[in-house]
Amino acid sequence: MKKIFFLGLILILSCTSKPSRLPILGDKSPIEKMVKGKKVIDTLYKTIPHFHYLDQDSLSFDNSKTKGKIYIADFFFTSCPTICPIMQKNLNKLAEAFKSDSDIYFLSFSIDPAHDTPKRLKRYQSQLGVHNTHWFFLTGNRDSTYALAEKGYYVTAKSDTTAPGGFVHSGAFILIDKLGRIRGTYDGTLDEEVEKLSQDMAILKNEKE
Amino acid sequence: MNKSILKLSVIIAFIGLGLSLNACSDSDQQKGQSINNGMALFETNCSACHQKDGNGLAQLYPPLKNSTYFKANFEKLPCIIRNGLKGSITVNGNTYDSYMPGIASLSPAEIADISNYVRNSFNGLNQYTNTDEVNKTLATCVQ
Repeated sequence: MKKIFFLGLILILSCTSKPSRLPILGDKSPIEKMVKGKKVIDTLYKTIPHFHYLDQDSLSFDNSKTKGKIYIADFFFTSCPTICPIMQKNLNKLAEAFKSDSDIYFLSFSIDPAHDTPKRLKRYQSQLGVHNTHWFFLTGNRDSTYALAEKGYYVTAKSDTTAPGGFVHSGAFILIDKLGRIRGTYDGTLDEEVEKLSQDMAILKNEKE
Repeated sequence: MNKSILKLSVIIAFIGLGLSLNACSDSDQQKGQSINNGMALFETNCSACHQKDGNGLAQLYPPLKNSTYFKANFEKLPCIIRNGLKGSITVNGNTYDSYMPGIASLSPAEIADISNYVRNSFNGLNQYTNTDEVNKTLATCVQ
């Protein structure tokens, strides 16, 4: 009898267990909405604010192009002598693994737009050996980029004449879901965190909204 | 008397031989230490771009290991480390034109150590430079 009870319990638990979901990061606030005629309290999550840049092909790129896409964002500059080479090398590994998936984008924002023109970014993309056509190297207003990094993606990016290369910035890869919400932040210089990101991308892909 | 002088000469000869062998060991030790220092300095200052194994990164940063460019231009390394490098170069048949920033904070002694590491561990050149040579080279750098 006991064996039947425990077997039943295991079966019930396995049927009702939910797939894992990634947390939703950032600011949130309560919001009222009507569901089936009843007022309920839901949660409004922070989303990435509007941005507008030029990509490596000098084409306009803004948030509308990421709607419905999962994407990884990072901040770098092409003449960076410190963390960027390992970051972009690691990001390229991910980009290569997901290059056939048109629902996954990669966005690299330049924090040195004075030097990182679209032409220079195009050359960098080629020299890095990028084959993923959904990886966009973006350049635009410098101050807007610093603000977007800090307030939009919660990472550091700013000028610093004492730093190697003249800038200081985070080595983070930020995972954004189809609704523009932050779902994870990973150290792009560490192999184990890049591997975790790869696994989380797969989890996010399988999430139902 | 002759036997005494002969014995003394043999003793002095052996002492001299011992001293010279010891000097060679010290020099080998210094070379080994320079390479060890150079490896540590390379990993701190150079490996982000050129990678720890010296094989470079894609078409962005050229290899320093088994490098045709380095073997033909190793005397220029102090100037390249101090002042950086602009313009297109060909390494092992591939063209690279990224900008390499110089590292002004590295001392001539540190530049010598990195040079010895790259010359020997990455390119098997069995050549050694020192601080004096690096200083002379740095005085001739064209910027």
